[in-house]
Amino acid sequence: MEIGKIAFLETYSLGDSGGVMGAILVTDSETKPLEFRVTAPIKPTAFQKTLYGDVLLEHVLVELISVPLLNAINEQIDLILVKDSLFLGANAKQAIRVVRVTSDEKSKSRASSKLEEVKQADGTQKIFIETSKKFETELQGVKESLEKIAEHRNLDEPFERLRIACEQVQSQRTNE
Amino acid sequence: MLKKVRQKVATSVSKINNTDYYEFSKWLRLPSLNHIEFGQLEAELLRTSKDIHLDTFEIPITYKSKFQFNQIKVIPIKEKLSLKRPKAVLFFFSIAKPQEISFNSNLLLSDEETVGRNFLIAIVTQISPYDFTITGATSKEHKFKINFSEIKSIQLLVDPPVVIDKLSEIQTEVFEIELLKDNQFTDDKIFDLSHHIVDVSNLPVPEVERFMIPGIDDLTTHVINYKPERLHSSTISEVKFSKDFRLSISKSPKMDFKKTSTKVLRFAQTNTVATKTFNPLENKKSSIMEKKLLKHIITGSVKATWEKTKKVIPDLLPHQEEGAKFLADNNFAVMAEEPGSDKQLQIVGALKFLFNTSQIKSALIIIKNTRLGSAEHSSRNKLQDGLLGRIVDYAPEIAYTIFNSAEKLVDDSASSSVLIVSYKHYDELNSLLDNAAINRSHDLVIVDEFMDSFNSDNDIENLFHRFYPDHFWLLTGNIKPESYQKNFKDTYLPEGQSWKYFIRPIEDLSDKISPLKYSNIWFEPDPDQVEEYQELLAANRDELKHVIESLNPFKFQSSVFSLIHKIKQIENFSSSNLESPKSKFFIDQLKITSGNGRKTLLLTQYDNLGLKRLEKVLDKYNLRYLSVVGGSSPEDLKRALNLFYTRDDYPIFMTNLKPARLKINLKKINYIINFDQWWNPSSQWQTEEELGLENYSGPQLVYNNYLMANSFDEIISDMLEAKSLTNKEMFGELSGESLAEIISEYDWKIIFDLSVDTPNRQENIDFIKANLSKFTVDDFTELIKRIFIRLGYRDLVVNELPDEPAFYISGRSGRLRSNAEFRAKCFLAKNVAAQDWEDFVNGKSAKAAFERMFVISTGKISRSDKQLYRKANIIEGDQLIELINQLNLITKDTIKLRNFDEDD
Repeated sequence: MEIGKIAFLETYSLGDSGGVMGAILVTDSETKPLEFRVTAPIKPTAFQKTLYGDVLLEHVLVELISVPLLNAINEQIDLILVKDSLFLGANAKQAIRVVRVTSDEKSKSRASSKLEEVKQADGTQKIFIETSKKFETELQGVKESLEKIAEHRNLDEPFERLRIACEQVQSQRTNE
Repeated sequence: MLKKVRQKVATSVSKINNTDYYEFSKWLRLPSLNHIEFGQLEAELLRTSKDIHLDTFEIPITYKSKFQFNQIKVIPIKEKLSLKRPKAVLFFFSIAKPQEISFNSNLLLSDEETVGRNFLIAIVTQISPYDFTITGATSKEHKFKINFSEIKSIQLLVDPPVVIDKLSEIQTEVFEIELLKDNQFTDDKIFDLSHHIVDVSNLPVPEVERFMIPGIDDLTTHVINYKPERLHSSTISEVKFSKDFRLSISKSPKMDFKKTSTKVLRFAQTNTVATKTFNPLENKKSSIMEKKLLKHIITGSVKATWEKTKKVIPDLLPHQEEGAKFLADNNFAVMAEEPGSDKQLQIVGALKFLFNTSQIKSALIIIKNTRLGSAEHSSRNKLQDGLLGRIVDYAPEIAYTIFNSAEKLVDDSASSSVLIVSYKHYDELNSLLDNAAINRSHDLVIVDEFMDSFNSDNDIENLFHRFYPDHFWLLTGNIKPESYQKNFKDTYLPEGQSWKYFIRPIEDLSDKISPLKYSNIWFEPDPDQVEEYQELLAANRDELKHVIESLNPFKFQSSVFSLIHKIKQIENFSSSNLESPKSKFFIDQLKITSGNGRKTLLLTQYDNLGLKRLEKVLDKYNLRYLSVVGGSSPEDLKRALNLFYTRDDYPIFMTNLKPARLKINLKKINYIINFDQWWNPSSQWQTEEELGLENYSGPQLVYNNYLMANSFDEIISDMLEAKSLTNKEMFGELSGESLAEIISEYDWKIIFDLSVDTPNRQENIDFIKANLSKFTVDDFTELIKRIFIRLGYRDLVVNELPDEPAFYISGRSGRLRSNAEFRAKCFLAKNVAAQDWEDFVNGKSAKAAFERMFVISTGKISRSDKQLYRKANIIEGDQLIELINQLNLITKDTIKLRNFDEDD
């Protein structure tokens, strides 16, 4: 699997009642940014919270964040990297593989059955990936491709950019 | 049908696929309707001809006809339908967190009153559909005394909740169209049966009525305020009152609701369809600085450094790399370098670096038109003509647009790659942006030769505030910073940034590059020049053809060469314009070089469209000059030169004298401009020799040869290049006439765009190849001797090598002023090993300074890694055959070598 463009998908919580904001950063294999989009803040009502119960967050992450953001981007991406395991639900909604990146070996999500280690060139930080059980056969290919990228790029770092960018977007919106 | 509608409506409302879970079918039931009133439909037949002839049409006959209505008018609904018996399923009702109802203080009776048996406490409350808490009971300020033994029941009256239905946006439309009835077709006015004619204009109009389905049809606007049946008074069971009549939640009385009905609540998942996404980088409400900050954040923190990533900009000379690195490393840079250092290539180098390391995504270059050059001409001839030529040759991956028309309105989002705008069009761009109130930002703004237009503090600051660049480079040829440094203030730059200066006089390049910097500068002719050039060629076409075919050298001199002279003059100036592309560039450059206190020598061959015209142009710009025309006395020339050398106010010396007469002191000048070089390379070499440029080793000297693209200069230059006739090592000893002879009749016809029959070149080549293969060493020696004779050498000495198909040959130039000599090792062999010739080239020689080395073979010549200390002209295989063909040494007419005497 040759990875040309990666989408980093992440949420940003806006505090007490501000809701949650979704953001996507499309980069090339060097993690240079190509496209950046965010959602308007999503604020479920108390009623919706009650009705959705435990599935509310997954619903928000998959239906209200992943799907609209992936529809909104113009770039053709090869892989979607996420940090929140609930995003793995987006695997069932579209054709691009969603893979979760984590540095915690013990944080395997319920959606998957195994974690694969992606070897980083500097070896300072361990990175693991997982995906929905249904697509676990593809994980080996993804791992190999990501290892090539990880030789000179930290796969965790773009998520940090997303976080700061969301903060910035939010502060700009607040000032409007 | 109903099921389908229900299914359709239900799935459109919710995107949740699992319909069973929500049991949509139970939610929505079409209520029965009690009355329908239709409006009217106006329609007419498409075919308006009154002469529809029908076949036999007899009564009673069933007649079917299809009509298409081209206009349908839907009459608004006249009467609202009312629901007769809406049915629904209770979807929820649980009180998640009831508020404690406290009777404590308010229900205490006064001493005077006694509660009767039927005393009721009205508790009025309201339930919001989105908040399942009872907002609190209203209390009645009434004091009474309770006689516990008498209380048997307390009636709780709960106000019914207001329920709001928010089924989402569905626009289902149901129409009923009245079918036309048979009896409507029996009207005699319509059907004239006796004549088989149908008058469509009198056909009755069917009625169409739109159904309105309350709660579905008008979902977006409709709110049903539906009151469910009042809750029946309930009995309280298991009431256990504490002594102080406090009701705890756990002990809340159970209430039996005997019968209730309510409408289905649809908790619209508005977010599912309404999540808005947007691109913060293109948010029109954000300021440029905010967008830039965001861009900076998502770009990440890895900044490419020049040392680590300079591999992305290969092949720059050390001094160019130094300049490009300075620009790339400094966001706010002023670069001052004198003409001749190739600032443009340094800009393109730095630009390439920033683009390839993703540090910038867009750039704006403001440049003088005369320095723009031509991308087409550069690609065609594989050279770097102006800025565009350098971009296409050195950084072809950078896409650029040239702004030259007001039609191209540019906005913020369009700022991709490089936008190039000439000074001429800059104001246009500026006012365009002003008028359209566009905030256009560029990551990088470059202003080439900024002093021409941006020479005050305000200009530079305004430019900064116009585009808010992260990188802002201003370039000039003026190396005296005191004249402009005061205009650069750091106050408006981003925090921590300041202007950085790179000032490099041309002398500083001496240890990095050869003391003589030679370059051709190409110009595009202006429209008048093009017209005059074409007119001239058209007028001389027939005569030219005749002269070229005659190959009479005298006629050539008088016709072809005089035509070339005319062309060269048009290339200098058109007859109608005072200035030309060449003169404009020259003036721009002279302003800079004279400002730096540099001296320029300008050579031209011509008088009216050369020297005199240049004088007028310089007068126009109030530039002082010294001009010496042909025929001036040696004293006048000497006096003028003395003035030129000693006086600072004469930056330019112009002449149409031969350089040999001039005897210029090269150490006193910095720039030489050859305004109109003669086409023959031999003439160019002669000029260089006469000026003393060969083996020049004085202070840095810049030699510019002005040439015209898309014109005679380019065509002849291509031709000479293709034939290697510009190779001085090879053809340097030929006289101008001998070199001109190598250009065939066919070539001249091509140059002047005359129709020609292509000669069978390949046939000649094959013929030479076939004959060469039969050559003995003696034949080969004879051939080589003739080659060198044709190349202008004399006194040839051959040293044969016993037992080897090879020999040495040496000789000296036949020209009077030349002291050139040559030595060659020649092989009649299919393959020549490196050791067989490399030592020969590296061999020490007392004459090394003016000796040319040749290695010639009929086959291939191999090369090892060994360093060669002298330049060797390698002529192998096909190159040798090409040279023989060019020199016309073996022709098809005879396989014998032509007899060329040494005196020939």
